[in-house]
Amino acid sequence: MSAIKVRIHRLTWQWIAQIEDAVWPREGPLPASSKIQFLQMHNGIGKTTTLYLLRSLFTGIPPDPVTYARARYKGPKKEVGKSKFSVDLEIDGRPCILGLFLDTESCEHEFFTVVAGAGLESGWKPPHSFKKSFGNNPEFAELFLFDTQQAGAMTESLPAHVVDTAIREVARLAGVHDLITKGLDQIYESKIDQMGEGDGQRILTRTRNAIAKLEEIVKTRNGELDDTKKLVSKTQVDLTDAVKKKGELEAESALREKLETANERIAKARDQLATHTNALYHLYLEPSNLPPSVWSTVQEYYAKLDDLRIPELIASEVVDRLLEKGICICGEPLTQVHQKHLTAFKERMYGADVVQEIFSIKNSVKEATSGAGNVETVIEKARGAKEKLDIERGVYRRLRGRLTGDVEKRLKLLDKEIGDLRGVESGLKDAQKAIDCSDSSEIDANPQYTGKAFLATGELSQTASDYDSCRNLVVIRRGLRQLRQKEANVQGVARMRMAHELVEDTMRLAFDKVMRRMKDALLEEANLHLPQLQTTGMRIHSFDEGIELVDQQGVLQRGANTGGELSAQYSFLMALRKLGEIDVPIVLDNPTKGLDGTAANAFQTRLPSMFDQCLMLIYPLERAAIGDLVKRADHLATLHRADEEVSGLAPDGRAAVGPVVVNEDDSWFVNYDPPRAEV
Amino acid sequence: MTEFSLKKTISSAIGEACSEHKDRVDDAKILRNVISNLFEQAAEGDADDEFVNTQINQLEPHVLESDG
Repeated sequence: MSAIKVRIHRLTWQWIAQIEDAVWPREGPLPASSKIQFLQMHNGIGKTTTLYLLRSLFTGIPPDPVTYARARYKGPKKEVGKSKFSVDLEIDGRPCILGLFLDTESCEHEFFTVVAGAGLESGWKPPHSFKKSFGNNPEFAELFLFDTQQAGAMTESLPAHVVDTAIREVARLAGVHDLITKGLDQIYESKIDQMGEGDGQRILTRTRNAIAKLEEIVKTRNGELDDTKKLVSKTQVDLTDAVKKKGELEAESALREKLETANERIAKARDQLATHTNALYHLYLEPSNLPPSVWSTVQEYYAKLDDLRIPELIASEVVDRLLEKGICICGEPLTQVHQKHLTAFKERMYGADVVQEIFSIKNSVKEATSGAGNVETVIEKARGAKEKLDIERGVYRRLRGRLTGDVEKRLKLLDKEIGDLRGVESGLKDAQKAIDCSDSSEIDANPQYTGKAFLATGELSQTASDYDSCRNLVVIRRGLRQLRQKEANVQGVARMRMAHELVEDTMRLAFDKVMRRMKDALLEEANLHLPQLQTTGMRIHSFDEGIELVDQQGVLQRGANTGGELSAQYSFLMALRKLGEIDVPIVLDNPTKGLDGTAANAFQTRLPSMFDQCLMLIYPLERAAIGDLVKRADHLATLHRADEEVSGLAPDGRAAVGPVVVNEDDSWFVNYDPPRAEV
Repeated sequence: MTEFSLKKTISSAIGEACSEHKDRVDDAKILRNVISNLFEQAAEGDADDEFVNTQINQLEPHVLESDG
C-alpha cells in the first residue's frame, strides 16, 4: 500500500501568463490508464508558470513575487478577468480540486478547495495524507514538480535536509521523526504539568526552573546549529564559485601558454618566408630563369657562336704549335717573316681565359633550359609561407583578445579568497561539530564542547547556569534528562520517566537504523541509474550530507555541470520512487535541458517507467530530442493561439492574436512549429 | 539489487533497537509491541498525546530500575 497515491486529472487556467481561458484535457478527466502526457507550447505561454503554480497548490505555500510576475496575463486581450489556476487531483482514490485566485498586480492570493460533498471552500484544505506529505514541504514537492533549469543551475547537489526530508516522506517516517524530536518531550511535559505537586516543592521548583533554562539553551543551540549549517552551505557555494572562477583564470593562464606557442609559430613561419624569398632572389639573378620567351632568344644568339670557324683558343694553340715546330700547316718551313707575323697575330688575340669563359657560357647556355618553372615553385612556396604567417598572426590576435589582463594577480587574489573560505568553512564545521557531535569519546576529548557542564567528579552538573558555556547538544540533553529524572523522583513518577526515556531511546535507535538502510539501498539503486544518464563516470558517494558526488577517480566533487546535476537528481528521484511507498505524478518542465544524446536516450527509457504519471511541459524544439517518448505517450496536447497554423504562425505570417486553445490532435502535436530549414 | 522492502526494514530495525535495550525491561515483547504501535501510528500521523501516554503506561510496569 502506498503512503500516498496522487494523480493529476485536469488543469485549468484563466488569465494566466498568455492563456485566457483553457482547460486540459478538453473533455473530462484524463483517463486512469494514461501514463505519459505531453503539454507543448511556445516559450512564454505559461509552462514554467504552470509548474510553479502547481508547487503552490501542492504545498499550500503562496506564490513568490517571481511567480506572480510570471502569472500576470501578458496576452493580446485588453479586457482582462481575474486570474485563476486550479488542478483536479485524485488523492487516495478521491477527487479533490485545489485552486488559486490571484491578483497579480497586488500579489494577493486566495486558495480554494473543492472536495466531494463539501463543495467549494475557501483555503487550502486537501485530504490529511496529502497535507501531511506535501503541506509546507517545498523540498519534497519540488522533487516531483521538477524544474530542470533550477536543478541544473544549482552549484551544489541536493543538500542534506532535502535528501533526509524526501527519505522520511517516502518511508513514512516523517511522523515518527516529529514524535521523536518534539512530540515525546511535549507529551511528557504536558503530563507532568497536569500532575499535582507533592512534597519537596522547593526542590521541584528549582529543578523545573533548571529544566526550563536548559530547554532554552537547547533551543538556542538548535538555532545556532541551523544558522551554522546555513553558513556552511553558503560558504560552500562561495567556495564553489571561487574555485570555478579560478578554473576560468587558469584556463586564461593556459591561454598565455598558447600565445607563446602561437608566437613561436609566427617566428617559424616568418623564417620560412625569408628562406623562400632569399631563394627567389637568387633564382632571379640566374639568367636562365628568365621566362621561356626571353630565354629562347638568348639561346639562339649563343647558338650562332658555333658559326665561327676557328675559335680563338684553338687558333692560339695552333699558332703556338706552328711556332714551336717551325713548319707551316702546308708543310713549308716558316721563315722569320712568317714567325714575326704569327707572333703579332697571337698578340692581337683576346686573352685565352676570356675566350675560355665565352665558350663555357656558350655551351651552358646552349644546354640549359629555362628555369622559370623553378621560379614559379619558389614563388608558390613563398606565397604559402606568407599565408601561414597570416594565419598564425590571426590566431595570435584572437588569443590575445581573450586575455583579460592581470591574470596572475587575480589568480593570487582568488587563491587567497579560496584559502580564506576554506578556513571559514573549516571553522564553521568545527563550530557545527561542537554542537552536534554525538561521539562520547570525541566530546570528552574536547572540553570546549562541554564548558562547565561536567563537575570535577565527572558527573553532570545540576546547576542550570553551568550549561551556559556548554556547546554540545548531546551533553545539554543528558543534563536535561538528569533534571527530568530528578523532577520525576520528586513527583514520585520515576518509573514513568524511565518508560518515557526507554521509548524515546528505542524509537530513535530504530529510526536511525531505518534511515541508514534506506540510504544504503537508495545509494545502490541510484548508482544503477546514474551511469546511464551521463558519461563522465561520476557516481554518488553518499547521501549522508545530501547528495555527495565523486568523479571517476573517486575524488569527492562539489556539484557538477547542468547535465551532471540533473542526472544525479533524476537518479535520486528514480531510486526514491523505486524504494518508497509513493505514487505521485512527476511533472517536468523542459525535461531534456542539459542532457546530451546518451543521457536523453536513457532518460526516455528509464524515468517514465518509474512513475505512474509523467506530465512533461515542453516547447516545440524540444520534441525532437525525445522523439521515442513522444511515440510512447498516450496523450499529446498543444496549447496554441486559435488563429495559428501548424507552422506556428498566423495564415498571413503575422503573429497570432487569437485566444490560446488546447489542441489534442496528435498530428498537430508532432508537426507544430517545425524547426526552420537553414536559408 | 536485492528486493528492498520498507516494511521489513522498519520491522527489523525496531526488532534490533528493542534487542539493544532489552536489559531495561523485564519483558522485551512488551517493548517491541509498544515501539511498533508508536511507529505505525506516528507514520499515519495519528500518534496523539492520549495514544502515546497509553503506550508508555503499558510499558511502565515493565521498566527495570537502572543501576545508575
